[in-house]
Amino acid sequence: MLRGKDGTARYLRGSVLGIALSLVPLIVVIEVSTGMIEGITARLLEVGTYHIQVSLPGNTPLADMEKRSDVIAKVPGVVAAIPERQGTGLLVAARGAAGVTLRCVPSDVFSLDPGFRSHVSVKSGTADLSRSDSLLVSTALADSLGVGAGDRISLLTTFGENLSGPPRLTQVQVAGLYETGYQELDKTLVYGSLDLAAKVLSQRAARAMIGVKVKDPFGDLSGVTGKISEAAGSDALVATWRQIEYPRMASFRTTKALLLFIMALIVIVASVNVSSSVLMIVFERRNEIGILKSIGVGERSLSLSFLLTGFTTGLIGTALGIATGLLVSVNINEVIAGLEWMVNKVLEGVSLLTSVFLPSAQPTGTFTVFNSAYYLKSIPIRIDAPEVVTAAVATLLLCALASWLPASRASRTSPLTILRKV
Amino acid sequence: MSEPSLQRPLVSIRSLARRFQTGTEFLEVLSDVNLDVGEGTTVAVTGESGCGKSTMLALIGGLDRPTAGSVCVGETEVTALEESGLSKYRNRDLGFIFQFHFLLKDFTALENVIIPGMLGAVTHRALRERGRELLQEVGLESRMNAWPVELSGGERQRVAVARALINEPLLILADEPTGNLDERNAKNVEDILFSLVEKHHRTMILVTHDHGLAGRANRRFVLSRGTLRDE
Repeated sequence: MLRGKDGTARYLRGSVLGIALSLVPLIVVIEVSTGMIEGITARLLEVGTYHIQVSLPGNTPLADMEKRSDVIAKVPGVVAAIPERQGTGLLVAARGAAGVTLRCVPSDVFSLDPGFRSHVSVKSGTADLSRSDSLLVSTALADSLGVGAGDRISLLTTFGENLSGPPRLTQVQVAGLYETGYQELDKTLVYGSLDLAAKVLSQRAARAMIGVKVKDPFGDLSGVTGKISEAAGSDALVATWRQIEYPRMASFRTTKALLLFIMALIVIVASVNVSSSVLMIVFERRNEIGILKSIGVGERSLSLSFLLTGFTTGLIGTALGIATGLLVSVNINEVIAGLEWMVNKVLEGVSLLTSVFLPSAQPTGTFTVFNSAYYLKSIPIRIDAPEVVTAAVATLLLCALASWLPASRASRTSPLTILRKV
Repeated sequence: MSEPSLQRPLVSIRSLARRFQTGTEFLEVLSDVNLDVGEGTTVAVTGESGCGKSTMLALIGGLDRPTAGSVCVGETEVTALEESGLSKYRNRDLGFIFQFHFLLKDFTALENVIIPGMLGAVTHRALRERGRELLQEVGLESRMNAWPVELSGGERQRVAVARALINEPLLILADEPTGNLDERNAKNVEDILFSLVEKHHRTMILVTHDHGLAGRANRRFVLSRGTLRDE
């Protein structure tokens, strides 16, 4: 009903930009956090906790563990069942020592478990664990210990049935260096064969378990868990990854919700800006509103036209914001790398200048957005369509709601007051 | 102009009163206005500035609510209508012409004329055709696509006259329609207004200071001390 010119277009352009800019961080947070959480969860499931863990008594003989694994592997829906002995130890090398979780698995674990194979990449050396003194160590841990593939290091473990005896010192060889892309896992996990477990881990100090991988770890696991429980025997304890990782997943969810809430506040502020813009238009156009009312345009039509103005502003802003947000999200690793490069160049310049004028000044450090020690080395890109659609719909509703107040003010404008003022 | 013989009252005003509150004081602008206007009649109301002429017109036009009394136009009791009913009444039954043209600045002359018709069921093509005819009748056929800012004061007021007639209203309410114009343009608009009202057999209530303009109406009244009396 009212055509936009001059101030009207200017107000609306500002509001469109506000909505678009407020949505960019929201979308980036949605996509980055979703990608991060899914990436970390996938690594935890495939390399860390398995999909389902069957805990056995520590003194279960290896032959019994293997037999039960074979039975569990035949349960419908199970992809792999890996017998594992797990214990703690201390790796001692020339540069230092590190406490580790020693995971002793079948030497053919890479062929047994496709999930393990796809998430553990061997960076140097081999993944061959067939020798009883072979160890697979992460690159991060190897760096901190100053060892490489082929080096021999000492492994200190507790041994003896009453745990009070002297620790056992075993010479092991680093067969290969691996990475999962998640240093939180890599820093502490080393892999050896089940034969190594027999040599270095006591039955009292070690955990005996069967790690199970299923076809759909994110689906309902209650059915398959029941069948695994029956197959594993009465002395086995079965737990799903959701039960094992519940605190970590709850922490992820809370962090994501908090971030989204903060980002949503920015969108709310932007929608208030839409309200102000529409209100300004109502003030600027009050003469036209009076004229339209005098020629019979109803309150509802007038109200609707201003609501539509706000909604359209929101629609264009939302489309622009979501497109830009998705573009940034899809290229987030490059964006972060570019940002780090730029900041580090500036820091280098500052460092150079300070070294000239203040020779005693400490050099500036290297800037990183994400410390890869705690996050994934690169963020997996995954577009979460339902969450993006929810953000878009919520923004549109907010814009419509924000326009409601000025729209109702426009509809209540008395034509008489306006016509008399002119 | 002779008074038409058919005098079925189209407009019937009874005991109309309007009181305004300013602080703690009350100002009674209209106290007891009674008027019957037959279909096809033109009525002029004159009176001193501030006597309530425009207030009376606003009450008839449903732009304001009376303190007491009633206004009936055709079958419609205006004073009993809700806001949505008043909007329909203003659109369907009324054509307003104000002292100031009140054209929408972002619309061309033709678009301004047809805007009231856009709320009805008439097709856009038919509406544009009717708008063109009306602009032709007010002598602006060559200025149809001009913006209000490109029109002279007289031309703008002629567009306002054409706009008032687009929906073929029962009643035209004109509030000092030539009050803002110079003598030549005022005469021109006055001629066009009366000729179109007569040609389209419309009913008009006109308030003015201009006795010459008032003299062209079928009936003339003076509004004084809140009541109407024959001139």
